[in-house]
Amino acid sequence: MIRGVVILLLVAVLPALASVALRWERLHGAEAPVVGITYREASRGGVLWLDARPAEDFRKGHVPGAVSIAEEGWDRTLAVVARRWAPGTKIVVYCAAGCDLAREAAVRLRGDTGLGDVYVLEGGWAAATGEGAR
Amino acid sequence: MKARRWFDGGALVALGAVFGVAGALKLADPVAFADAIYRYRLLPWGASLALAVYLPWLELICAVALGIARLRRPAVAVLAGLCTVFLVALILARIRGLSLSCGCLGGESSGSDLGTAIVRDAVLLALAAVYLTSRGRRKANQGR
Repeated sequence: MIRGVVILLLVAVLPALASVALRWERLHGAEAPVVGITYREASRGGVLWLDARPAEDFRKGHVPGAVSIAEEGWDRTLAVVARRWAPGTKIVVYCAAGCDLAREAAVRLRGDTGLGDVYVLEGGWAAATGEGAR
Repeated sequence: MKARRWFDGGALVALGAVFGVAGALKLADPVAFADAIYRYRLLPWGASLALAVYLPWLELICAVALGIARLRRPAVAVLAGLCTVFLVALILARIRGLSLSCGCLGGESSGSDLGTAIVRDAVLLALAAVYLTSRGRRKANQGR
């Protein structure tokens, strides 16, 4: 039976290689999606919070230690990330629930820094306040 | 004996149908499937892409091989292995509280929620395991 298993595993490689050749452009250009993360999971281990909401919303309340992209500006936010990021640190961007700013900022941040561990907070600020962050 | 044969036939049809359809649907858009794999946060993007290209073909070829007597048991064994891997990934996602759909049919938004997918995978794994053990026992008895 082991021989049969090996044959099946190897036979599947051939059409897979053919489809890579046929779709090379699409596969090569494909970028990893920005993944959502829950507040609880984000809070486990090192995390750098980036607040993508307007500055006045940030002043009313934010996740402890969060950096406001609106207040700092993009270049200074990048500088803060460069200073505070360490291997294993997650960078979590949030905005109001249902807003696209966090995702846009996360994509831009990943492009500008090359860092992979960039996430968007699921449920946004509302989810963070629900977990006790203010 | 007859009931056993019915069970084996039913198990093969179920495995073939589920993996045949799933493999064919995933083939249509490997990037969307890679996206779904990546959201489990178990593999880097490159590995997710490689798996997204390879796995649908493996599923499809195994589904076809279920119809070939000589390759039937190996195909069931491979599908049982896949079920085990999927089950572990689904349970880990559930434990970690990830909110995603299973991606069983390709894209992130495709397929069922994690709970349903866990039950379905467990049933498929059980079918495959019972098929393999009953066949193994029958072969061993014939050998005596």
